[in-house]
Amino acid sequence: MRLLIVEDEEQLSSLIQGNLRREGYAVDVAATGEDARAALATTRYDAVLLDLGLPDEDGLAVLRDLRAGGDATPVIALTARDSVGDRVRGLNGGADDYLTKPFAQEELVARIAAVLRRPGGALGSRLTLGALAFDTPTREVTVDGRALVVPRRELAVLEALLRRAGKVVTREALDGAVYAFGEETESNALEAHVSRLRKRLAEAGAGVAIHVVRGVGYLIKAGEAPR
Amino acid sequence: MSVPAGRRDRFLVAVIVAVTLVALAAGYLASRALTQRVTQAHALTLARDFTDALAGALTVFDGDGRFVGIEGGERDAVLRFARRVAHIDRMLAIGPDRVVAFDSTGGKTGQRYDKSYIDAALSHAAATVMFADPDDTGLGEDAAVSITEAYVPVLRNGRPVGVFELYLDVTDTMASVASVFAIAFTTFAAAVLAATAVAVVLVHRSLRRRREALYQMQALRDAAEEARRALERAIDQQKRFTANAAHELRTPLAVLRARIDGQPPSPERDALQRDVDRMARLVEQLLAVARLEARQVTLSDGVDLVAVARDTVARLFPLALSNGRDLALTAPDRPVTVRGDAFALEDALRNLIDNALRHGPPGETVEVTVCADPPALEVADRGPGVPAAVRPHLFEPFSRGVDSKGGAGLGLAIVAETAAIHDAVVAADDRPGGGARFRLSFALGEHR
Repeated sequence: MRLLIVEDEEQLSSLIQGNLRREGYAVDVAATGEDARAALATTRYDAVLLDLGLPDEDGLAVLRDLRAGGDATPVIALTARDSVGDRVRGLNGGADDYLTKPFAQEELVARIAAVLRRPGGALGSRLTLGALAFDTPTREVTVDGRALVVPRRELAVLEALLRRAGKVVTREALDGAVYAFGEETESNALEAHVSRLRKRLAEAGAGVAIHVVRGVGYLIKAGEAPR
Repeated sequence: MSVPAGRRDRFLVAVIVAVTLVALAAGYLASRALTQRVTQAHALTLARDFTDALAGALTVFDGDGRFVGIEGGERDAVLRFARRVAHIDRMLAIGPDRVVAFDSTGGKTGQRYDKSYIDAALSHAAATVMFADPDDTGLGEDAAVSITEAYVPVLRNGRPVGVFELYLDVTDTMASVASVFAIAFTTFAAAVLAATAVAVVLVHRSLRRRREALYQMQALRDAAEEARRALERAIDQQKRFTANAAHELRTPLAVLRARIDGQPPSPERDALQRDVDRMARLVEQLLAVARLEARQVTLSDGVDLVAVARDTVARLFPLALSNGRDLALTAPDRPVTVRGDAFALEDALRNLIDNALRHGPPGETVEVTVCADPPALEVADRGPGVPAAVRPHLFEPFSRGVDSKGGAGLGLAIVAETAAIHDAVVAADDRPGGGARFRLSFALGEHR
């Protein structure tokens, strides 16, 4: 996995570089928009960390040109700017994710992992959490290597939750994942699916917990089941 | 009325000038008529006076019809009249065979006239004057102005015996006519000109006042424009300051956080991470306050409070979970829209939830509620509640309310500023069953 950090603050880029190397990534650093363009033109990266406030140009311009050239490399925008409009501009400008400085390194690692396993990303195949592993191409679920049989709709719920592990997934998003467009949705069906899935995972000793966020949705996290 | 001020002013001046010219012409004609009347009256008065004086002068002829001159008081009266008016050039007394001329003082001049002159004078007098009526002097109105001489016959026993040849010295009269005309016309013209001058001054003054008002209006407009520019500059500077401050503060914190995260795991590392997180949160809040105070928010219609609450709860739930607390949302099935800034509202709600999570006991559920009518956001916890004593200062910056569990005291100030920008009201009260309840109430939905 080769990453490019585009960041003019040298201390920050070298620290991030060190931290990401320990995570097993190969990391290049560019300090200016010009360097970044040169690096992107000569090397294929799996993901780019792009600071929006570069000394020679707006990071968004680099991003725009990258996308205009048909390059779909995942980009995580980094910014120290304050304007909330930046958040929107960054994501509209073609960034896959957005981080405001300062950020925890584990957060950065999680975001990188997330963009890498997105459809189209190089590593989209295996989602893991706790003792649980979900192989997306084959749709097989294993707990500590032992196969676990999960019905189709529960499997869809599990995949949606695992793709955003540690984050709340709204009921709307889960409904969208479970039911095809136009398919009739029953009002309490989602609760029933989640409840059965929870029980199934607990019995299998998956080491993951599905938390209910009342009024909003669900969240899956490594650890003991709640309550 | 949409007549432009400039055109109206020019029209007014033209009217004044035209009225002045018409008034002067009328004044000229009136003065001439007046003068004519005065002159006629003057001539008539003279003739009447003379006739009166002449009535006593009939005795100037003796019993045989011989002229003996003007006698006694009557003679004096005629002479007095002659002197007073100085209009009788000479008097002719006509005897049967001769004419005797007197000068204006009554003395004989000794000049004699032959018979043919006397006959001519007599026939002229008979033709022009009807002596029977003493009032009828023969001085007709038309003749009055131009008379220079008149013949007044003297009758005895119904027979003309003499004639007074009367010369009116019109020089005086004409002079007085001219002066009457001059005085009348001058007075009139002066009055018209004075009125015109007053009118012009009044119009000019009103024009000047209007111009001054226009100047003042323009000056006010300029001042307002200048103030607006200054304000824009100030806001720009403030925005730049906020952006720069954000960069200046966040970048070193990012470096610090990356450095700490690079250390091997240890309790100290965890503590340092928490410290950096607190500092980062404080910087974020300070910048939020600065942004709100500089009004760097954009209000738009149709911001859904349900979506705002759902996103915020979703974002904060992991934090609640890691702190051993629960977070739940109660909201209507349909959107609740207000005019506002979604990011600012998310920020405000985040601060309320942060507070509730800090103050509530472990294991509790922080309840977030969206109300539809009127639109409101509510956050309730099971903490110690807000004592009445601290409520007045609760929403001031760096006020920490009951304790200082990790917050810098900026959260509620951000909520209050956000409320102010949204014309909303924020209030804290006791939650039924214990704890505090914060409520952000909006006026009347988006159709205000």
